[in-house]
Amino acid sequence: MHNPTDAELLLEIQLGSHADFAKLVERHHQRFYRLAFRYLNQKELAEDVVQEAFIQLWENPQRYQPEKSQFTTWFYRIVINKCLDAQKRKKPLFLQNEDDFSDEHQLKQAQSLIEAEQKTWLENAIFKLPKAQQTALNLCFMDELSNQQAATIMGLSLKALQSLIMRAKTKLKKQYQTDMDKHHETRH
Amino acid sequence: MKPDTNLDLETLLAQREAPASQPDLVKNILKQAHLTPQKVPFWQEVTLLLRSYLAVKPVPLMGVLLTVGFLLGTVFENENTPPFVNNMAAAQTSAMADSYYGYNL
Repeated sequence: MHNPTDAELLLEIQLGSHADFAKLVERHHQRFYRLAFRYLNQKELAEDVVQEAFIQLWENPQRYQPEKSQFTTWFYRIVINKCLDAQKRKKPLFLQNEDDFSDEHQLKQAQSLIEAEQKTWLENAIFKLPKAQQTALNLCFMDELSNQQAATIMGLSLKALQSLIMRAKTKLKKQYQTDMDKHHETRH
Repeated sequence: MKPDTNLDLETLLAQREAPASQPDLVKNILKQAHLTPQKVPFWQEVTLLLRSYLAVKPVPLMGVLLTVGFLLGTVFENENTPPFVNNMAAAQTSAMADSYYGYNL
């Protein structure tokens, strides 16, 4: 059976085909949801963003111009813009205190707690990065996207993207050190 | 004993995975799409209308288009054709008629 391309599906969607819209949503919703989650770190908010983006596509499918870019490249940009808007409505998560632990079992528990906290810290720290660095990190560590594809989505050269990632990582490491120092100061 | 608080940034970045979305997500999107009318630009609406009309009644539409074309052609011919063209055409017709009936022989 012929598996229609995204561009073919979009032509039918422009003619009002709900069936083809359903196919397109089924095909791509997970990848856009994963990206939205990276920006927002909240399931419901990420789902809202993806739903909003798809409904906007349904309302106005002729905004996509197949001769200019691939559908996914174009739609990633739309989802990214929506995520950046949604971030303004989102509150950051909080880092908790860690303590001294006397036995091995408690230490293990504490270690996994710290890992969880570091994850939370990372999401908050990425959230505070400049938008371009944030987008570079969110796109580049996704399985389905190569760095070259990420660069195309952002409208950058591969080199420029790599330098953005480097700067983002350096900033994150510095920020972690500062936060840890502050954290220890407040405890002493 | 203190737990290790060093940051392994590469691993953390690689581990950033989203939980699966709700199965309702696709359902909700499709339900919402059924409730949302598409914003179709005017030119596309006309094209679609013509296309659907042609698919159902191609012959009457062609008849209408030919009649309109004929009428427009007549109006423009009468209004816009310079007199000398008409004269030339008349002269040519007359010459053809003459040669047909053999008056010039």
